[in-house]
Amino acid sequence: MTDDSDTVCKKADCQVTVTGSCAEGHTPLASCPNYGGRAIEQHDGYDDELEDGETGASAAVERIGLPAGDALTPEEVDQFLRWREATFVTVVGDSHSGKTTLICSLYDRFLKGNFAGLGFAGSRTLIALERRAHHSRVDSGRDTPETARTSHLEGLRYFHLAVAPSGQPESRTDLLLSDRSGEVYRSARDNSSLVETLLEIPQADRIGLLLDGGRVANPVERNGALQSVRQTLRVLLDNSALGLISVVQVITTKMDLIAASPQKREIEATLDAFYDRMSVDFARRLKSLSFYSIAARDPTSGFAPGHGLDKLIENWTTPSSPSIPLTYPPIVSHSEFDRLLLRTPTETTR
Amino acid sequence: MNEQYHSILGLPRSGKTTFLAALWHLIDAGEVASKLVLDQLVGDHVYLNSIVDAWRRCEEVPRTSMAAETKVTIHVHAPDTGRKIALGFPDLSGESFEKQFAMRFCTQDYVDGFSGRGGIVLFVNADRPSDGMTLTDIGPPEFDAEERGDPASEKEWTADLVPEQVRLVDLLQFLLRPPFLRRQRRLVVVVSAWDVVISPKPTPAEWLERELPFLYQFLVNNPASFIFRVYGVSAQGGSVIGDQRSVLLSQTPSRRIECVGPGADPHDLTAPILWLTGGD
Repeated sequence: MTDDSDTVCKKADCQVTVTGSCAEGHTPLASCPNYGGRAIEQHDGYDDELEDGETGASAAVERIGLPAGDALTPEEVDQFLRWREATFVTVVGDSHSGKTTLICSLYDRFLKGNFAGLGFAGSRTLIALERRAHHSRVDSGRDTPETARTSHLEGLRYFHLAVAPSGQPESRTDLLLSDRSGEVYRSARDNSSLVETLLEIPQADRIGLLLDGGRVANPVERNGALQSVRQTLRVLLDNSALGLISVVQVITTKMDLIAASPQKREIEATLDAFYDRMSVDFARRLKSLSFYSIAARDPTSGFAPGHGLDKLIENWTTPSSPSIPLTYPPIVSHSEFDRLLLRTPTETTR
Repeated sequence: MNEQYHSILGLPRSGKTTFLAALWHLIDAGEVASKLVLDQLVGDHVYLNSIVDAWRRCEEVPRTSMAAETKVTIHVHAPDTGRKIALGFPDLSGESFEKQFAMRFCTQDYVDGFSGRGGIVLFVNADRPSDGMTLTDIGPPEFDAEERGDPASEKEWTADLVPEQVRLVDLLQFLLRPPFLRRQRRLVVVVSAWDVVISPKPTPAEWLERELPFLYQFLVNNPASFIFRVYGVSAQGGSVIGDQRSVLLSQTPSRRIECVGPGADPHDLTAPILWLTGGD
């Protein structure tokens, strides 16, 4: 099957490679007479390119394909890792809990300057970030900020954001932030057999479990929102996607809606009790369990833009402390055959 | 002879062609002292002479169209050292760069332009509209939730809505991967229309950090790929529209030029070029 992302249009001003839409309105794209031909394969690891000699082949054609800037597929992430190491951050939450808003708000902070003592150093997914950020911009023609939702059809994708501490470009961290539809996480909660398909969970250096503050602020939705986070953590632990090496952060989003609620104090007390119960029940099964609050995009401007994101990215760019050494029970030999093995001198003991 | 081709980057109306016109007049006319002067008048200068005519008349220098893209070569020498240099500039239209960003391809000529030892001149215009503003930046909406605006006014995402600084970062990021040769390059950011920056003026580097912070951070955090300097340049000396034009016309042409930045004399556009060519 042909991957459309590799196909280009002969019409000079058609932006199909970026927008996915034919400039002349042809649907499907294959029906457009100008559509067709292959773009130069997207380049990834620079050193790999030089080794496999594809550079010369690329140079032979007039149109030289350039990196698409789209979100990375798992295969592209594998290629990326051949170039340099990365810190994986997996953000897990139901639909509308604020996963993409969190990532876009972080990107938006760097568009405005250094943030949390860090500066922007590069991104292979600028086009993807811009597309997602579009509905929060004045140029979108909207009057309230919104974030484009992730479709479950898109599968697993990653945004790339490289940052470096101010004045220390050599200490750069390449963050790969996963992006997957909330519907998929919901399905995995309902059916634990799907957990093993969530490749981004065991791979992650940090897991962010989003608690939807908008639902918490609503008395009708509150308990359901709390329970969904608790159940998600449990299903991931019970099905071995998380364990003693996992760093989990429960991130309560949309704090502006909680702050604006007339029941603010009651909600805060409920949240404190919830955090305590989570710690008691799950912390010993993880490397660490911590709690964060953010108001990534407050439309009423009661909070500073990106409230709470500074602490999160500071954590994400700080190497995790060494894992607790795993201890294994001593091997007890019960059968005579096992004991024979212990009595037999090996080459190294001879 | 040391021959270096420098690459020029910049979106439409960023001041690329006007800079080239002013530079050509400066080194040809000898009206003010400059770090580089014209060495010999050889080759085809039709294009340079056509754009410099408009510049001398204090008219807007015609923008380079994609059809008119050309590569110019200027032979200069440095009076201090006697060193001879052939400066090559591809005068690419801003639309070429817009298209490169939107369509995600470039030409072999463009790739070849970065294969030599030359540096990069990146143009941004101080007289620019703000872009990339978020709805949160402009404060809460002044209406009830029921009084939403007209959905018909909402726009789908297109590449031309991407903020200028993001596009420039992506154009520079292309150079870090194949088929471009990976090496450390000298890069000069020219902030054109420097005359419109309100006093007290920041240094050009401070202006870049304040106005295009994403681009500034990218350059600062990629020292293995770019060592950069920032210059403020007013190639025309002011607005060529209205009463100010007659004031500009009354001046010695080279004295209209303003150049601010490391090692630059007030009217000398060649300081950034000399640094790109390997000067200190």
